[in-house]
Amino acid sequence: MIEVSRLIKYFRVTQPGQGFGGKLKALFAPEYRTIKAVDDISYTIQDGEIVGYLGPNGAGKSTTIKLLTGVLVPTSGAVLVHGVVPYRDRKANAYRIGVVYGQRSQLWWDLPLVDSFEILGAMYKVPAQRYRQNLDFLVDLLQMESFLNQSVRRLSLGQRMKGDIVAALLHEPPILYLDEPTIGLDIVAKNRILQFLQQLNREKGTTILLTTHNLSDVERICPRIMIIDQGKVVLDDSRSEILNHFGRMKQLVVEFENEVEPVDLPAGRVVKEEDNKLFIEFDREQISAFDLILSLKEHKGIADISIKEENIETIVTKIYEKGA
Amino acid sequence: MSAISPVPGFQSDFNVAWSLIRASLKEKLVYRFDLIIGLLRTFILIIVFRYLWLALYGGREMFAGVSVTQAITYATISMVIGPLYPNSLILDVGGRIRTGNILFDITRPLYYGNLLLFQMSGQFLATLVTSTLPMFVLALFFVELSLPASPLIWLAFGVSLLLGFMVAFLVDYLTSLAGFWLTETWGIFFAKWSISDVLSGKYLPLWIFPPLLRQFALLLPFRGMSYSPLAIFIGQVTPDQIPLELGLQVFWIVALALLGNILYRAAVKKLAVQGG
Amino acid sequence: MLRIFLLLKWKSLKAELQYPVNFISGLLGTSLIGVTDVMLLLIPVTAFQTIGGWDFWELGFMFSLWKMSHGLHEALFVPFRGRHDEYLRQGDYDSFLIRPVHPIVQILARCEFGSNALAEWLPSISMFFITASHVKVPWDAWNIAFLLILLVSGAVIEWAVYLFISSTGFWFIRTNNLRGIAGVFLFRVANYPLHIYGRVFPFIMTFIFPFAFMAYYPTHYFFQLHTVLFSNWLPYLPPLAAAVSLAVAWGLWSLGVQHYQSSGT
Repeated sequence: MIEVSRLIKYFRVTQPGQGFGGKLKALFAPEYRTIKAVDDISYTIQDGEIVGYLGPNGAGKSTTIKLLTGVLVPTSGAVLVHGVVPYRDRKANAYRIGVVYGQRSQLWWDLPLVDSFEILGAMYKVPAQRYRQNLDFLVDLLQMESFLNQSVRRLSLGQRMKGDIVAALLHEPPILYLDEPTIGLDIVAKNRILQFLQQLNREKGTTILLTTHNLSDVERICPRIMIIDQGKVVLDDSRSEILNHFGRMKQLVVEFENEVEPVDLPAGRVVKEEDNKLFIEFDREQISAFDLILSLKEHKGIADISIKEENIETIVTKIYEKGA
Repeated sequence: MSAISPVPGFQSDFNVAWSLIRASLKEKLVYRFDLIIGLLRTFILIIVFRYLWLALYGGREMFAGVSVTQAITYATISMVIGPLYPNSLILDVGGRIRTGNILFDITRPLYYGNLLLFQMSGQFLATLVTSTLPMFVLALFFVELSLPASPLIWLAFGVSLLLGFMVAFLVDYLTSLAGFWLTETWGIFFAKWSISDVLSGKYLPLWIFPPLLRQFALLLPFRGMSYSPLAIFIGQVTPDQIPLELGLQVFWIVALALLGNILYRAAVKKLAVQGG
Repeated sequence: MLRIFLLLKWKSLKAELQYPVNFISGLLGTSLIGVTDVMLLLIPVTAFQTIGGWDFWELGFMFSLWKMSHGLHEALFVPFRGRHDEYLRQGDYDSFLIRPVHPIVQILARCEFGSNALAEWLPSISMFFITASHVKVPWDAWNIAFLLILLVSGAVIEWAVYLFISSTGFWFIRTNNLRGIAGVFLFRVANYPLHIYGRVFPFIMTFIFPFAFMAYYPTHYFFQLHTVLFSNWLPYLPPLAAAVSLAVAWGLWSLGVQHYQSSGT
């Protein structure tokens, strides 16, 4: 069980001066500004849950992960992971967690992938037999046989991400944190990983906390979603509730060859016109994207049609609007 | 010294050169702290060799026809002008080859060697202003130097220094071309660095070398880098010998430039055949 | 722990041997640096016979001592000289802090095989065997043990200096300049006997960057010379100097990690 109560993390940042006089002053009498990265959050995550941590960039997602993993020390408030205070009992906490960072790898760059695993296995004191079992299980599930012996430097982003996931799970931690793991991945790779996480949770009961700024990532596999903005949890609810209220509206982007032409829509409405593109908003309950696109197929001057995902910023705005 | 990515869409060589020079200067000034520490580092080296020469001479006035002050001057000026010379082109070029960015450089209408030359010239000027001149002034205060009396010698020194820069650049350029054939460039980098440091007379003047080694060193282009301008400065190369020394530098510049051209063509051909 | 290191060294050696041409060229190139340092010693000695009253044997022996210690350092401790800045900048410390092993040990565990180390040994060991026969003390078990302790102390001293400098990176981000300065003291100043340098450098090399304990002072013992500087006890103190330097550096590092954990990066 992960317990977070009244967690606060403020950063004091010096203000750089403007102009020569300002810079000089900043050198001797610096001005500070407080960034409230995590601003009084409290929640509990039970064992075996998969929780999505959703928020715009700069909302405090990475900072929260760092606080939960013990990398950062809180300004005030408490974090308890299986009864352990992460930043105090680092070693005890280490055996219980695995962390995957989307934008950084913990693997040894110049060595074959499998060598990194072996070294980590030694670091976590995984007994030889369990190591073999875990490795085989994970490699099989993620289909990594083909590049297991390649040096990490030569792997594609998707392959490297899989490598980092295995690296985090070799010691069978009951908790797995993932910080923006799907960034930069193509749809196929993304799906593979999300599917894997579901299987992992099913078969081993691993608690999973996944941060992202993409709703479509979490809506697939997270029964519980927390939305944070500016260091505060603005919503903590089940997937179905959230989708009902916010995920319903989707946008279709219609790109014309030359100029925007008027269209007849069976449902939905035009919300924006930009250059040669038309932005149409529609309610998923009313009409599916497929049908809407179908209705436009007779139209001659269309060059391309794409579906735009609802982005987290607009969701957050809507949350505030609803609250207000 | 780092090779900067060139500004696209230029009109003439001069514009390129000027913009690259300005960029180098700005780059130097941004890292002010770096600059000061760099000066400190050079200063420490000057002190090291000053003490070394005092210990070596041990009270003697002359050795091999050179006074202790002259020897100290040689070493000091050598450290002062040291940062002016490019040394690590192979690392930059090697890096650009590995990332594939080299394609931008070799497909432009400007010969790659010239492109690098302009960049290095920019760094030369920037270093001259931010490091060499301040260092020289500092050295004047702290070290006993014997400066040339005649302005002609100063002029000859200046010319030789510029020629020396060209020789150093070409040697570095030729070395960097090895990056087209090898993937790990550190070995070559260290090799070239060590060899040129010793044989150019950068740390120790050629006249104290054992005879065989001295002859060998005098035959190589490296002498044109440090030995030539420094020996002129302290008078070890007498006024009547100066034209010969400068001529030697010019000879090496021409020879190395030609060699560079040939190797470059071979390198590009190899790249075209092999891909990335 | 040992198992992890050996594992790592073995794996990275295998990886390097995949590219034999590069491996050999790297080895040769790096050896040449050692040859340069030898030249910088041999050439003046051949011309002037002595430097600061020390002859070829004493100078050569001193050279071999610090070079061999340096080689040991390259084999074991090099990430603190070259890559610590990167680890801080790229957030690798976030990975270090979540593992059950001490971060310093983990950083040491990133020290891959390094043909550098091998290359440093070639000129230094040759020089050692050339000059060792001229020392004024017998090569009995005690002196050999002392020599080995010296080599280890020397490597630790160099490590401690770089650990200290790397730790300033927790506050200052770029440490390559301080490293450059330390490098000048290690490679240039230490090449020649300390007593030729007046007063300031000997102080720095004894009490600030204690590189003088790597070779200069110990050479006094092996050649039974009187120490001109500071105290006659110094030749026996390298292990103490190593322990103290490491303690100081480790202390700064600990402060640095605390700072990292409260302010992030």
